[in-house]
Amino acid sequence: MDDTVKMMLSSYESGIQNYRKSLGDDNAAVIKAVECFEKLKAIGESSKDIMEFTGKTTDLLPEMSKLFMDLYNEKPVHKVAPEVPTSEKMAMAYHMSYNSIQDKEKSPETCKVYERIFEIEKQSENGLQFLRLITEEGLLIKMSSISLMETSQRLLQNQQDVSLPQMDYYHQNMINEMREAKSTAEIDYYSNIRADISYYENQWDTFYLIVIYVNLGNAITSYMLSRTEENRQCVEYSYRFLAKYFGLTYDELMALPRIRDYFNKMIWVTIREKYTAMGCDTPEKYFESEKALLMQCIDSRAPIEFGNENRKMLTFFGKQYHVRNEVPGLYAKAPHPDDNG
Amino acid sequence: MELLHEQQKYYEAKLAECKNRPDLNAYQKKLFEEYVAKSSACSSVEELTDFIASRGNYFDIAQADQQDRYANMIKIQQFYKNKKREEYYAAKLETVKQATDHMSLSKNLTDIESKISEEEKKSTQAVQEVLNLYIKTVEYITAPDTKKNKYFAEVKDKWMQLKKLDPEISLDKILNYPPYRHVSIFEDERIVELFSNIREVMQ
Repeated sequence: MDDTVKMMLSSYESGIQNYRKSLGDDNAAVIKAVECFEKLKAIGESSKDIMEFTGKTTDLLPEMSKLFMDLYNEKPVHKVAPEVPTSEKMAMAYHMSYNSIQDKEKSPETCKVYERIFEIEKQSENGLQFLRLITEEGLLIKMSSISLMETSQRLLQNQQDVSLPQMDYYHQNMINEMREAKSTAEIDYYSNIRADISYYENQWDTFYLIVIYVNLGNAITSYMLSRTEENRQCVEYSYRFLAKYFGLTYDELMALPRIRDYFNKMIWVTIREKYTAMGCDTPEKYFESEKALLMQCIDSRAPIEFGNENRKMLTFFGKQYHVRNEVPGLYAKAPHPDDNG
Repeated sequence: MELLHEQQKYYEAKLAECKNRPDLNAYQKKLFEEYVAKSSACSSVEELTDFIASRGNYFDIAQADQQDRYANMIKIQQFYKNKKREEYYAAKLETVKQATDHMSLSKNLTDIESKISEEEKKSTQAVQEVLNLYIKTVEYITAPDTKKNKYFAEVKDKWMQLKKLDPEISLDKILNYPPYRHVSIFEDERIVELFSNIREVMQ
């Protein structure tokens, strides 16, 4: 029988057993619950996995829940001594969860937490002792926090070649905060804050990249491929926009750290081979050729108007930062609810 | 170790978990203090079992866990001034508070989720659409003369999409609603200047 189905049925069975003791075998609600359970068990034995099982029990599972509600509402006729679960029974879900971890070699620290839980399972006299010991060692918390840390460490490593500085900060902060978390509430709280910050930062970064660089970059590329008046106008208007709204020249634009990182990792790697064959073997040479085209597009047109110094400021969560050097460093400065103490 | 003492030690361990950040574990901390006190005062495991049964067989612990969760989510949304999401979590917190047992806790949370998740999704999409409106407007401004009409129509479509997600959308709201401001790299002056190009669309 599939492990998940087995666990589900085992939990129904022990639940019904408890009610049999407190309500008696002849109780009508108990009889109905036993009948329903037997039907579920038969289907469970013939199902190859949980999907097949749930597919075949769309009527029976809600019926079982309803019957448990009925049992809960019945008045007990016998006083029943509390049954102490075994440590094996208490640890069953952790074994299933451990078995479901894909690529265990990529999560060695998470696996160590589970292994310690299984050691305690073997050493414990009963389920209560098992639960107390894994709680005292903070293993239930570590199971989540270490797993999240390892995921962030892995993603941080994997994204070195892509230009996502805001996500680098997200993962670095997740690693630090998960290391500090001592309760489920903290894990939840820190993760949700990081999710919120990265939600806003990802969109802010998209805004920044598209409006400051991608729009003009695409226009120049189109003009490079096809020197039409339409494409020339697009370059001219994009450059006028950059000058007016940010007070930046082309040279200043290509010296911005965030733009250079984006260009090097996302664009240059895709065009390097083609341009090297044409004798343009460095980003700097490529910028020279782009700039020459840009100059062609604006030559003998009305002078470009550059915005004043105020236009070189960017707004990030209500604060002002200079366009020249602050991105991506400002992603580390997103306000945090704990900043206020 | 006898069972009663075992239980007491377990509650103490749970209480210790709450002490690193008591502000984030307010409901659980209070509850585990009560459980520690009660288990110390009980003279038998049966007495403690009766107490646990009287509290809905740990329903109160499940409830406190969810109360902390949503109370903390409300704090986060208040901090980032996201009114819609704050209301969403406040409704969930209220639902958790009103639950009376494990079954109603789980059922009521599922019900409220399906009732308000669509609204929450819309408010999240609206933030994304405000960003798209900025980008479309820049594309319109920088489009060649022969393509201005096409790009203007696209800006108009974006605006209508945004209006469906947020019927109260206006330049004023884009300027003043914090979640919309968090995605913008501009201060008021440049936002007003940029959108003056599509004034007729925004009316």
